[in-house]
Amino acid sequence: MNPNSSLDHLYKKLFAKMVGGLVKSIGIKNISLAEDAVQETFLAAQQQWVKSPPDNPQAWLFKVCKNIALKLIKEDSPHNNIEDAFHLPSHPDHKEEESALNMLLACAHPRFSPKQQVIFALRYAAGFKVDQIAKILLSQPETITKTLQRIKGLIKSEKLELFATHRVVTTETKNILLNILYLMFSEGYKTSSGKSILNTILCEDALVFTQTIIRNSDLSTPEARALYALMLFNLSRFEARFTVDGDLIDLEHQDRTRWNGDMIKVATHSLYESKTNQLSKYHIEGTIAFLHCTASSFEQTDWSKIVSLYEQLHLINGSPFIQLNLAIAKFYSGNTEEAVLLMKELGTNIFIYNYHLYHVAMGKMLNSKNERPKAIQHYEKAIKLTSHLPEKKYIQNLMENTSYSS
Amino acid sequence: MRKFMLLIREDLRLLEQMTQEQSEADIQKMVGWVEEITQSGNFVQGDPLENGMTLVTKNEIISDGPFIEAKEAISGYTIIKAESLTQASEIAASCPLVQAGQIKMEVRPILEF
Repeated sequence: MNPNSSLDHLYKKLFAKMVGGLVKSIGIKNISLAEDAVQETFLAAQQQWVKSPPDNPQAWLFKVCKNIALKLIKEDSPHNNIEDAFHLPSHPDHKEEESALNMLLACAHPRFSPKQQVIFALRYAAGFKVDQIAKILLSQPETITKTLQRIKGLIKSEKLELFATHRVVTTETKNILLNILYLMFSEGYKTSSGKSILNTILCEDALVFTQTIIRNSDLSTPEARALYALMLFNLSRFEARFTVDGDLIDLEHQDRTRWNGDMIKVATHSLYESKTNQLSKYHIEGTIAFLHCTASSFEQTDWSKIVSLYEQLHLINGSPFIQLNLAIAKFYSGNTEEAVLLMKELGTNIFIYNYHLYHVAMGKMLNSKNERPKAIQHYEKAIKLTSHLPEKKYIQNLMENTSYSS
Repeated sequence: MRKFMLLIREDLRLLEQMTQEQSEADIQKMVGWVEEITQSGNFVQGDPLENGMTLVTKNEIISDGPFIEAKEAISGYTIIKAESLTQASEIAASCPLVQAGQIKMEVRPILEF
């Protein structure tokens, strides 16, 4: 194997665990120092492994990282008692998983905005590099760097204790944790283009973290199980969303035999296990995904049930964007007039009116009512509003296929 | 989570001088932000406001605003849900138009009984 590609692989696998292990000993306020130590370690590996690759690369990394960290701590505060630093992990051990989970818990602080939490988690719990995060979030590397600096600044200036020993994980923190994983997964899912491996890795990372939480008796909740089910239902369709050329295929036209039946089974089981009196948005979204994944065809889908689920979701988490989904479900359940009426009402909201999926849905509805010219206007607006190329192409295709006979 | 109102303030005179392309580009930035905070479960509702206004007092109704001496006035509002005032402020700070210095947001907790 090419030493650099295997090193990239190790970086992704170990970065969060190494930083997490270090900050556990030296405090989250020293996260920059921990990060520097890990970066220097990988730089050293890059230079030295070409000449003499180690027998046990992971052990090498942990050992060198400990030495570099000790050196940096001494430089940083020569008079500091560094006794704690002797507890630095000098070899990979079974606590690695815990370190990564700890970093995830650290970013679930209610002081940070959800976006900051996600960026922090992508960097320090999942180990993505800054330019990779920028690619995933369709942002600029400078913006990501700025956000990370702002978070580190907050940790320092407010002396946030993100790793208090024996911290009781509150319900609030558990909810934030799940929201971070939900957002990580969604980011990976929505911007994937069929060719980008980065998105697949991100979705899998989110799934693995959710699994870790379910298995952890202090953190596991019915909501976590429902989220796990939701992720698996979506992942079961991951590949089927694209043609071999990477073009988008919508739910209606996906080849259902390409959906991963095993994943759907595991997801269904997890959803069943998530039963609780208080339904969360993950339960409802998970149930909607279940209805889609287990329907024999698009037409056979239980759309009226989906309508009532979106109505419930709107009660829990009301926003015009959920109402948009509600309108779409009404349309497919055969309630075209009611759907269009709701859509017209939604269209008076400036944010919905400038959201490309609103116009895609409106185009489809009007086309089915044989109002072709109006449908085309909406498709044209939708194309203008999205910058995601596979989506542009998909809408273009819809537009070319409008007809009076639909 | 609690509800917060973000009062958007900006220079209305500059707003009036904007070309259609400029204001469309700004709307796009706002939509991207709203989409983002909807997905994270924070967005409740929001609207921009038109420029026309009146000021109603005990004795009269004055039209032809803006009435304040300062250049800035409220140009829109957003209601969000957040864990705390500090988190609400970080969410407001993540708005691209705030970051570009085009608008300011006053973040106010909504009084709940």
